[in-house]
Amino acid sequence: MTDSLAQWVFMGGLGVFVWPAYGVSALVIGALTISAWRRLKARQRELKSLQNGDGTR
Amino acid sequence: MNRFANPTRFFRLATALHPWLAGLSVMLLGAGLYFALFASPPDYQQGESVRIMYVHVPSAWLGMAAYSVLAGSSFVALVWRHPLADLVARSASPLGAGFTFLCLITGSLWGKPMWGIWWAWDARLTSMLILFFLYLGHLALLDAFDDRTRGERAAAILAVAGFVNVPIIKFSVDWWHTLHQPASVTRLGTPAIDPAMLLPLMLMGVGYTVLFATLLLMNVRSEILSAKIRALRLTAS
Repeated sequence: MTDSLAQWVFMGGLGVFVWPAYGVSALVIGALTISAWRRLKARQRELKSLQNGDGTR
Repeated sequence: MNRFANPTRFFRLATALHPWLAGLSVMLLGAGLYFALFASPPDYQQGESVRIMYVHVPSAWLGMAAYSVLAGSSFVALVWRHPLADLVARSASPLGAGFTFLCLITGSLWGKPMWGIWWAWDARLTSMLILFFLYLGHLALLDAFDDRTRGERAAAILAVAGFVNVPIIKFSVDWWHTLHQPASVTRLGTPAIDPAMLLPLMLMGVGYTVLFATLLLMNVRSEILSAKIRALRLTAS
């Protein structure tokens, strides 16, 4: 079990290239997702407070 | 179609679609990762490094697809001055830059074990690097002027002119002798790829596309809200 896991991670010596490729993909896609989410939430909050403050709501 | 070009209606549609698109992209990427990392065989020539293909090729597709969205919406913005078009262009650009960056980095990580080098000034790699610079130029131009509209016009002109690079990327492997391999999936007739590898590639490709659509709609919603905020501030001042 541990051997096969180690073998899978090592990937015949190519794991040093494969894992960083998946890691950087996860990082960039995660960053794009989080920034899109945070921006949307921030704009929603900003609009809500503006509308409440103006009494336009 | 025109009905949804109204920002308010578009906002409502994008909000309703969001949970479905987000859920679908998670399912597709989850299944894609399972096949990419566990349930697909190593290549008979490339060994385990072929697994880089499942993140490299979809990011290349999306880098170009996002640019097509960017150039298309910029064209609509320039010709018809549609209010939604500039917002779509502004929303697509950072996503396209992210996917193109991923394509370059994962390609480099694949190139080292297969070609023995991290980078080559070959037609495919260079045209992809130019695509990345086009995105950076577009992002820089958007906010380069005090007058927002002027920045958007300048950025839209760059985006439309830069579209010439997309067919160059696609056909670079046929027009020049490149280190990069020619198309394997989209060639006429049968794809030159084993079905056991085509499945994870397609799952990841469709997963990346649905994820791009999800993030694009989120960004457009943010831009619509920003426009509303600017309008409210203007009337308040």
